[in-house]
Amino acid sequence: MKNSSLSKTLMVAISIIFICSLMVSSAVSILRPIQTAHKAPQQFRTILLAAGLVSSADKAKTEENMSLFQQVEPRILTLSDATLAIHINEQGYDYRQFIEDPNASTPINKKEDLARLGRRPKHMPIYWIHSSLSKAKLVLPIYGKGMWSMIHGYIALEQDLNTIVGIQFYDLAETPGIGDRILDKTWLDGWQGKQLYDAKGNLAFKFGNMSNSTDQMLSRYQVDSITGATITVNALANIIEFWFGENAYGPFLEQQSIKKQDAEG
Amino acid sequence: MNHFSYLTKPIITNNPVTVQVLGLCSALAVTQSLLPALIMSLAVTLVLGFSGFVISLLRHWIPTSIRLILEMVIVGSAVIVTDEIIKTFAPDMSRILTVFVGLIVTNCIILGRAESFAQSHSPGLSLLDGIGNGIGYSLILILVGTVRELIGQGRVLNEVILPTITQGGWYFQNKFMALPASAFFIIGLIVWAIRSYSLNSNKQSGSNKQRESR
Repeated sequence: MKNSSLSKTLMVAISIIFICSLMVSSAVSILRPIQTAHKAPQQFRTILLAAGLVSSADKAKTEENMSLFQQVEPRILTLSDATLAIHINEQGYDYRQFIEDPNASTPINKKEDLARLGRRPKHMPIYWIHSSLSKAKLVLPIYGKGMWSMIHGYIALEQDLNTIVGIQFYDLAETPGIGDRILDKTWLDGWQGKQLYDAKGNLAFKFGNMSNSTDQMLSRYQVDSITGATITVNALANIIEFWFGENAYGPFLEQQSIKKQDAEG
Repeated sequence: MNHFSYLTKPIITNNPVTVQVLGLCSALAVTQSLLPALIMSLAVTLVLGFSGFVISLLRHWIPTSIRLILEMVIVGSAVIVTDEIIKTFAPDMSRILTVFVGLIVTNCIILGRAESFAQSHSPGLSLLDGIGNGIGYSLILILVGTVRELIGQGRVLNEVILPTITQGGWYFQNKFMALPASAFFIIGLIVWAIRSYSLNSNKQSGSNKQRESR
């Protein structure tokens, strides 16, 4: 049989492809469980980093992170009615497992889907911080579509549930050297002390070039944009707008601040 | 020709980056510091050795009409497996390397060696050639990575060598070295050094064999 005959071509192609796909799928199925085991400590660490309980210079020590995590009180928030619940497995609750789950998420209509999620999860884990080490009071997970894939992150808020203590991103695949500059410490530090809502309770946060301006009114809600990373930064702007808007954390944060005012009054 | 020379020749005299001028893209992208450069080197060497061996093993069966596609399938599978291994055992590294491990598929060295060598040589020699080229590529990556991390950040493998001003030392980092373009200059200097070295040794032996064998 000649090398170029149709039947031989097909046979060789199919058998090579079959062997290769076997190789890839067996490697993935053997290694996937070990990879998932890495994910939970990484998530804890990102939460602690956002809340300023550990610094990025500290080496990732799983046990230490776990003990610090005792100062974190996780709760499950139901987004539709802004109620909090205790969940059996909230320490290890990974919302990323439920992003595509039709039972645990609802479709969002295109106009409201700013962060391009496709589906909105019914529940999100939130984290109350009980620690004197940091001003952080509440850590909220946020995510949305970036340039190439979902960007996941945590944002930590002060007692007023408006001032940002810190923000951290993880589990992303932005363009190296361009979009992944959102992981730069100096840039992330620029979020510190910025506010999400103005005095009337409207979302005022945005990216721009006024963050170092002396004009208090302008700079208070602004974080530096990143030159060259327009798509990534726009995606972040949309992520913030979605998650702190009325379809996600907005009602919950409003309800919490009314509660606090009642308690004070 | 001695079999061993298939392994050693691509390291300096026929280096894939400086002489064949292949695989520059990743040499720019992953050399900001030494550690990712090391992991990338290891991954490329493994994929090169594996794909050379397998493609050479199948060279009498692969029909010429779909040769390139099948080579890409083999290389692509090897790359996915390598990427998964790195994700599993070095998750922090895979976060730094991001898409570049996957992009080994498009690294010209791999298809270049498959086409120009593995197609016409025995599996054993192709394995040696693949690993040799991998080491040659690694050598350049390690050199560039070391220079960029040292001059750009005052460190090597995260160990402080030159304490920088921001950390209270005296060394003012060269910010340019943090940018990918700086790798062009370093690779250019290496090409210059290797060329003038091999021209000199050619003059001494009075032959141009080396050039012909390219």
